[in-house]
Amino acid sequence: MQRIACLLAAIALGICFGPDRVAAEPASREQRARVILFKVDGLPGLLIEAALAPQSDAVLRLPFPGRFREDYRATQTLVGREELLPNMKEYFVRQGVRAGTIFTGTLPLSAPVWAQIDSGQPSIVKRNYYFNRASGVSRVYLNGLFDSAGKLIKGSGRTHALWELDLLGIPILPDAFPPARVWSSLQPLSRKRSAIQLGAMGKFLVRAGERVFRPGAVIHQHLSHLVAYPDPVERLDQSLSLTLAKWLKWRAEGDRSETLDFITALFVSVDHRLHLESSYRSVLHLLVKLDDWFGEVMGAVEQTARRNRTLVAMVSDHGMNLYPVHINYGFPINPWLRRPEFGGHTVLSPEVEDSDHALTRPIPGVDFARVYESPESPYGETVPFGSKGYFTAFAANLGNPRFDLFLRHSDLNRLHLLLLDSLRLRNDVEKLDRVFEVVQPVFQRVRPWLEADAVSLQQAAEVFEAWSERHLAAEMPSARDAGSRLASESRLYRNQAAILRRLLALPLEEKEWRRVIRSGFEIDEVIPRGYFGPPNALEQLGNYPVGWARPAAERWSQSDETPFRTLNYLDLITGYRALNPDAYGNRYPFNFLVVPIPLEDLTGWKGLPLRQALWLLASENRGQAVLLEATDGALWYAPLKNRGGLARLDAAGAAGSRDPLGYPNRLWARWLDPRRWVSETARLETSLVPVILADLFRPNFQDYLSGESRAGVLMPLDGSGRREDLLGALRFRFRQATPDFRVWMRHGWNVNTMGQQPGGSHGGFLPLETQTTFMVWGGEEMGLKRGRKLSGAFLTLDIAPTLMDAIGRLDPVSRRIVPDPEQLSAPEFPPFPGRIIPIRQQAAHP
Amino acid sequence: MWLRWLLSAILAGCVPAGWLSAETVFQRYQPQPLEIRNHSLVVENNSDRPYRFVLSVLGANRAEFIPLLAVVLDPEDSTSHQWIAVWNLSSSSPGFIQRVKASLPLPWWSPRGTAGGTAGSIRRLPKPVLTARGRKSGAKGRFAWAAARKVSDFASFFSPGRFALETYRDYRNDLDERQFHQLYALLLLYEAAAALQPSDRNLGLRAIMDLKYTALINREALGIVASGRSEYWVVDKFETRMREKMRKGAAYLHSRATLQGLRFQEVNYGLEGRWPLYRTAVLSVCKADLPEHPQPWLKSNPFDLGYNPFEHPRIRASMDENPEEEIPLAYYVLISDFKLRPVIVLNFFKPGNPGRRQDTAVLRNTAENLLSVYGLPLHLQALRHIGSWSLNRKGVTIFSNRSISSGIEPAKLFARMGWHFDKDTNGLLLRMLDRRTSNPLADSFARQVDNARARHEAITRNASGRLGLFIRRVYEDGIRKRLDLGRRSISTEDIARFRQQRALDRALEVIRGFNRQPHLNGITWSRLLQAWDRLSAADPKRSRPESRHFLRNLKRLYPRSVPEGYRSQVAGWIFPSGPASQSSAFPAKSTP
Repeated sequence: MQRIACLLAAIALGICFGPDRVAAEPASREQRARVILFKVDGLPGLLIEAALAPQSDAVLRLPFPGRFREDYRATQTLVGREELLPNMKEYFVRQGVRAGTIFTGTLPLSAPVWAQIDSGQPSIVKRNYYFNRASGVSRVYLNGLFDSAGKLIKGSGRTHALWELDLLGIPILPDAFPPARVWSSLQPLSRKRSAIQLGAMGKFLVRAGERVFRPGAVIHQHLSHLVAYPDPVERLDQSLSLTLAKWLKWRAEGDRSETLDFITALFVSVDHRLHLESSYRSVLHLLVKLDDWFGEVMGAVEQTARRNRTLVAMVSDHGMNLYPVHINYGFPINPWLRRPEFGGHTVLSPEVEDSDHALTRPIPGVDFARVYESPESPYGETVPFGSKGYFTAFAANLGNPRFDLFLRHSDLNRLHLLLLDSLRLRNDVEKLDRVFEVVQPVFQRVRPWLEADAVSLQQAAEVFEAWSERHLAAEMPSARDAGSRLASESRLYRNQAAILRRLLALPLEEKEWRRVIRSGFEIDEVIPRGYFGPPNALEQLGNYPVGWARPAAERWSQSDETPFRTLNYLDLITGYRALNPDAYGNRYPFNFLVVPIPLEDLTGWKGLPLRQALWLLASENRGQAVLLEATDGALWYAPLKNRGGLARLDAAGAAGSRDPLGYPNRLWARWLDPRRWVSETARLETSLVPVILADLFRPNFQDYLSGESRAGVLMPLDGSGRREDLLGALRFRFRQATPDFRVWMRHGWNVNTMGQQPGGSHGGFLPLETQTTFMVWGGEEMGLKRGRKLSGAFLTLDIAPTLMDAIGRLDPVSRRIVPDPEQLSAPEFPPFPGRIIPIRQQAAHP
Repeated sequence: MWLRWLLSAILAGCVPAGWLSAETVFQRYQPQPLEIRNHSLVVENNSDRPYRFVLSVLGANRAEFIPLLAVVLDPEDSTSHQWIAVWNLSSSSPGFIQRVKASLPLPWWSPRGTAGGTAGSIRRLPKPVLTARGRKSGAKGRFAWAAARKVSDFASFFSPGRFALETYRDYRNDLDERQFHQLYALLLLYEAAAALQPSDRNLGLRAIMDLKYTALINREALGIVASGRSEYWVVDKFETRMREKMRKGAAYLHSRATLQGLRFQEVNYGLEGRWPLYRTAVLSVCKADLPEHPQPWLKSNPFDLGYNPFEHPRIRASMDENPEEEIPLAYYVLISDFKLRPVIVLNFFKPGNPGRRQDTAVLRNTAENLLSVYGLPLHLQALRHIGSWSLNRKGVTIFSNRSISSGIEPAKLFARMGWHFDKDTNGLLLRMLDRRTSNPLADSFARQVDNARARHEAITRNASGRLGLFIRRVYEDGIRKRLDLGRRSISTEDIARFRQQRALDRALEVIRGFNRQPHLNGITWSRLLQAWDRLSAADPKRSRPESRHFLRNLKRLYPRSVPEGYRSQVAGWIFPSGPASQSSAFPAKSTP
């Protein structure tokens, strides 16, 4: 009887809970490996290595190694621990495996490198800001608060940076797992709304960090915080670690155990702190906290049933050029660009200038792009027929020692100036005729590319509109998000195309021209605001029109005069000397600029077929160099004597020139694999310049839009005609993000808008900036090496294939991710170009 | 002299670019002869073994020793509670007349002792700024003041008395803030000097941290709720923010000066081979730098000069006379309660300008106090708050009541010690710094110098007398409190017990440190087990929360994360009933 009762009870329980459980938890789940990606923004590889082994050589590569060791000892005393990082040391040094040297495979800025780490593909995201030359739209990839607000309001969790990858059909690692098995914190590339994290953060802040809600203790904590002012960013990171630990522990309980296969969390306080202040003692104390947060997570991992099938990786995107003594002074690029000596540009700024004093920016990080008019602008309201809002320059990446400069096309500037003066002189027949003599050739020059752009804009607008309608009709939030983004781009493109068409409709016949001018028009009817046109060629940058050579009253009195005031940006950047030196006594703020060279210019080249050529021009007459990339990816670098050498360049190089980067002669004029460059320059002060420049300037998007392209969120396509249209529209869109040139600052200078970032910086090529962190621990069944520091130099490009290989999800032949059988609509991953870092024991596989 | 220095400093700054060595960087500081003088202090007590303390005095060893800070410490105590009493030798308590002046509803423009007069000799022992028995006395005093104010607000009565009270409270708060920044600067200097001049008799690093923490919590009324145990993160956070502010201020002034065509030179204060402790800056102009048409002078600029240097007749004349000459315009401190804005202290061509800015602050305080007495209608109150928020946000320095003492007081201290500049320049600087100290309760620099001499003399002269008595009282109060002895006298046994208790405190510090770790242990196991031996002997029933927490944590770590040599010992503690009851949160594996 008792047995029958038990049987009945068991059947009843099975009916109640069985089907749900089976549906939610497939039987094979216990066998899956689990990945926890512990991302630390801006953690320098050399710093963490030095903190893990303060007696090692890594300390010697930091500035003031003696002071580092002294502050290490002081921190030991002050925190009362002999081992400052016990958790990292145990899991990564004793039980785990770590890359001795790993570099960023692209520019050491957060958005580009996280995009590379998350996707395992060469850079698509090239900087921290997006700018479109055709529409003038700018977006920030790192504005976490906007992304979060967007997520809460729109419901879609896709960030701006991820949108760039989605357009090309490049999935990120979390896409390789069923969505229900992925957990991601707020980060530059995330797809899901992090409601759990946001909720936990709110709870943490309300509870003032108290784990158990006891009203008395919570009030006490809040009151104490009024005295101690804890750092809000650190508190958010602490709350993230607690959330993660709690989530893991909770998942480990009872029937709902072990559903997460991929967990990725980004901790940002290291980057935040190092940008502002970098004394060793405070940095080490922060690392102690980071170790505590990591320990919190590992403590939870240890308690889960899948502990032995877990892989934990600590990765960082870039390092930080920290220097505890000196300040990085700011070079406020936008105010300078508004000055006559820099062109008197009206500028588009991605954030408010003087952000520390702006009333419109009550919370740091919350901001909108805005236009700052230059009083010197020849297109502004101060000139007859001029109007506001014609920005002609955009400098991307503020706060770090570099920027990308977008300048409006020089011929468009000329045309704009001529139209304004034509309107001014419409009643002066004689002078108007002289103006027409100049207008005609300029107009003829711009017409071909203007026509092409007008057509491309119209086509892209139509294609995006068509796809936006389809997406907006869908029910999924991510599809609606894609729809609204496409619709917004479509509207902008359509508007620009309409104005360009009006411009193209201006007659070139003199009589007709005079009639149109006399009848008058508003300048914004024919010149679109925010439209920059194609990037300027080298000659155009060397002779860039920034206004009139003479005052209005003196213009057009002679027919053969040169009417435009021009600037040579190449000379300006390389020769500019600031009034006040930086903290090292250096008055030249710009280090070098890099500009692409059309391959047709290398007329003397008889070597390997080339994919791209770059010209590097250093300031202070420190030399110039050329970098070539062959179609097979090999790199060739050689110093040059002068620009004329570009035409005569041959495979033998240009001996006897000054090398602006100071590389040893053996690296000059030789074809070397990028990996070879990595290992050869790993210990040099200008590490990896050719590798990073090649990746940065290469239009990698083209590789994803050719051949067997997937074309991302816009697939599936209807028929080949639509497909070609779409690929054309995407090609046009991605081309618009090309700057005119890129500039790197000297050590000690940061580019900013007026907000100050006086601590460390990154974006340059010093090993402290380019060397990142990759440390892995795996449970017993993961088959990872133990206690090993891997020799050789690796790249962040290698992280994704390495992780997927470690959990047995990488097809060794195709180098693609093996789809998850449970994932119904798994995205197709492109093959990983990176290598597999040998973290696994031989022949071991989970 | 000034110009000579400035030119040499700028020439020194023009070193070749690149990664400089430590030597090159630190050569830019003038070596300062800071010295810590430790005196033995033997104090009789009721036992046959007298107390042996150390009186540690920090000073600048120039032609004569300029004493700055005195600390009495127990050299046998290695905990963070090593210190017993601390004196900021330059600072004295305001007298009766000063207090009366501070309560009068009148604006005062200068500090005490500006008009001359000296502190004279002090017969009695000067009052310490912090003592071990009153770790939160400052916070309690503030809390009492705040409570009294709230009560008077609640009663909403008007009387001249309340106005006087508000005025006095403002001056008092300002004085406390100034004394806090003086003390903090001295502690930073002591720490740096102790690192260069190591000795067992110096105040230890943890004790310095504890002193900083105590100073920090006493700065706010809510310090009464802060933890009594010093927390390093609070100190670290404060210092990080301080350095960050100075860095941001310097970068801001540098970029604005460059944009405007003015020269900028950072003046750092620090010890040789150490990081800079404070940063200040000098602004100057040179005709050779200027283009043919200088930048139009922007009205909204952070320089607070009060004139356009390109049009100032005297500056123009100097520039025309010698176009290569660098003409200093102003000296700034870079830290204050302003978010970013540097604070002008010395204006060479409009010397009254910094002082007048300070006067506007005094007027605003007086007006605010008057308004708070009368009370405004709600809409005007709202308007006032919005206006105040906007002006503060914009960093407007006229009629601003933001405190600038965090920059002024350290600058005064360094100028008094003759740091960096020549005597004349430092003298001028000190007078100007006094001009920015409009508080009748605060001491002028001249009075601070006299105070330091007199108070140092009083302490050292009284070392075996009043000082000994005072220290004994403080120390024994600590013993009474620790051992819960009430008010009775201290015997030899009590002292022995107290020493044992201190050893237990040390053990408790270690155990608490272990308990704070969320997962693995960073404390050496030998030290940890030694501490546990002591704690378990004092708490055999495991009734203390620390003991229970410790055993719980050990259990979590056992056996995987406990080194093999310690496992049997640890097992004995966490499984007292024998190995049969052993279990662990996660499966046992061999230790790697």
